Amino acid sequence: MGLIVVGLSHHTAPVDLREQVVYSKDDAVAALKRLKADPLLPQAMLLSTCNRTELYALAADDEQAQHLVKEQIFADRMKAANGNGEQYLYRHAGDKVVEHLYRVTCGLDSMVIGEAQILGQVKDAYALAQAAATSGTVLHRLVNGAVRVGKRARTETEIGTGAVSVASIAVELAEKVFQTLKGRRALLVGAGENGRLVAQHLLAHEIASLTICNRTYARAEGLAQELGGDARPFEELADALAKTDVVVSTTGAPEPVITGAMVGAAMKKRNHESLVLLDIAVPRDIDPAADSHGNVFRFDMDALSAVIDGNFERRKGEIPAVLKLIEGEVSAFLRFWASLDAGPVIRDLHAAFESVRSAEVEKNARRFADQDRDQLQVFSRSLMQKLLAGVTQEIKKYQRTNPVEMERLAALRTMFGLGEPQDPHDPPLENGDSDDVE
Amino acid sequence: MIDTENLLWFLNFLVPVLYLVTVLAYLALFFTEHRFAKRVARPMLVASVLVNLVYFAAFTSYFEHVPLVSGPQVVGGVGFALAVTYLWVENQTQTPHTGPFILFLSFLCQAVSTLNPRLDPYVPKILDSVLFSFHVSAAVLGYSSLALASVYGLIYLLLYKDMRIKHFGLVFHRLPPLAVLDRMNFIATAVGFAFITVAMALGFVWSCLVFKGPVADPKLIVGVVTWLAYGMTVYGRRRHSWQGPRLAYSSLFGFVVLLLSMFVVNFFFTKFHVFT
Repeated sequence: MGLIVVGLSHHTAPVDLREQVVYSKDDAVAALKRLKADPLLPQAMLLSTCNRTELYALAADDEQAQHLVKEQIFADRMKAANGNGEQYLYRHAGDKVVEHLYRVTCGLDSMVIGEAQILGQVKDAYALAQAAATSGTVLHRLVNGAVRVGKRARTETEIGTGAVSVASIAVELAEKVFQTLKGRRALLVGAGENGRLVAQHLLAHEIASLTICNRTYARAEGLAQELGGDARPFEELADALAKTDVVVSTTGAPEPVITGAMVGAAMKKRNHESLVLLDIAVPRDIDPAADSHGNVFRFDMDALSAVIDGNFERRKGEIPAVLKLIEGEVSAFLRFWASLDAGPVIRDLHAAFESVRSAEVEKNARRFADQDRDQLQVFSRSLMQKLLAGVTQEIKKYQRTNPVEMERLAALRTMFGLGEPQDPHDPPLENGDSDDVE
Repeated sequence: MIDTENLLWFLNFLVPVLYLVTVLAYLALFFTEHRFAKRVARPMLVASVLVNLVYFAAFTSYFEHVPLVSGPQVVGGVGFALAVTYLWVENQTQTPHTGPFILFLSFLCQAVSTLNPRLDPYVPKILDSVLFSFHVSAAVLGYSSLALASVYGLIYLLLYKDMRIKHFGLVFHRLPPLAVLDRMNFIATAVGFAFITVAMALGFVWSCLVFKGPVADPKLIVGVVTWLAYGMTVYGRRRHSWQGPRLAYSSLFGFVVLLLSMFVVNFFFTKFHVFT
């Protein structure tokens, strides 16, 4: 019995193939239920996002289970691919599965390093496994560790800091000037898709108003209605400039639509209050001559790219720190895994009983005469051994290769509060006792 | 048994050393964001401020007057007030990255005070008054605030310049937004102006009582000119929404001019505003 993962991701498969193997929630539950029918895979979880589809499972036989997963999860959907699609799939077993999932959850395996969405996606995948009744103690502990290390990576390192998309960089730059966009006025020049994305980001940051100027007034009006803003004719652009704090320009015009003179006039009207100009059009919409006016902050695509690159570099620099967290969490999982066997359960159970026995004997020793205390020790120890003898014999029969018996071993640990073995060299985990999956 | 005077000498030199270590910790934090620097910087600052406070208390208890009699002692007081103010600012803004700039100034003030020690009980009779103590305290708080405003002005301009030339390096990533720096600059300028106003009023009353009339002191003239300049800045902000680089330049150059004027006046007119 061991852990396996079979999957494909943006590292191994092209997008046209990845989109064929994306599972909807209902499809994922149905697929998991089909898998469960085979005793080879007592526990399984399907993680399916736009960039990856992976099946994690507790398997009775690694190779057979991997083959079964390939057939049932990937084969049909990859029919369009050349050959059998084998070259796009990766497979891991044992410790590597744990490390892989923890890397994925921390965002180290993502297209955008450190992106946070994957953490929620892993939680959702586990919820689907619960819905399909394919979760179990091992999978629960695996995902719990993944979510915990994912959270720690984002709170204890800077793997997730710094915006890495144009829309979020635009907000970051504007906030670097105004501190907050709450109550600020925004002007969108152009009604294209990029502008809409940035405008949505600005609206999410509680801007006070959004004005849209577009050469085709009807399009401006339509987008304004959709986003909840106002439309103004393109001829009023110069006037609109004076009444805004953040301008996002994204037209397809071959020449600048906002000239230096327009910005100068607007700055005069607005008493030289700070103005952020975000030019995300190529060719540029805003004349660089706008820079000659004080308190004007103009950023074009080159500037935005520079910030994105810088943030990527900062995230990359955090990878060693995240790997260290992962290493610790993998070790903790492996200790848990090793404890799910008859030997460790019996050892820990006896230790727990012995601890209770010795504490009780110590507490009550004074009630006995000095010459009887040795007898008390012998009696209590003998009683404990006899009480445990039957249970011990029964536990000895349990094999971790049998999924039902493995669950029983896990249940015994839970019932008797045996907990997880700790590495004496490791500091206790901050969230060590919490159930992060729930 | 520790000799109190020796202890005071020891503390006098320990204080700037602690501030220097604090500045280095904040610099390390600014450049590297290393965990150790993150853990150490603020406790070091708290320790420096506490030791500084102990020094003030021990000095006051031993010599029976607050160490604000000589010029360098006043400068030391400004350094202390700056460090305390910075502790509050760090709590408010939740960022330690303005620390190196402000605390470096604090360290310089402490160094000036330590290198010009005046550990004796003598207080000129004319300075031994409650009114004069309030005048000096208000002046110390006023100059500390103006010094703080100048530092905020400087770091505002650093970030402003970087953003204008699209340079997104350490300054961009570490410093708080321009609006925060601008607001802190204005608050410090306004508070400084208020304290200087109080200090000047108290100084005027005190001089009238002691010298039977106002003193024709070049330092006083510099003080009045400074007060007017900062008053105009505060007025400009309130009435004409002066903000950003204009406010930053005025507080930075205002303080530089103030320091230079004081230096020139001290150099050429040593007989005036010197009572010790």
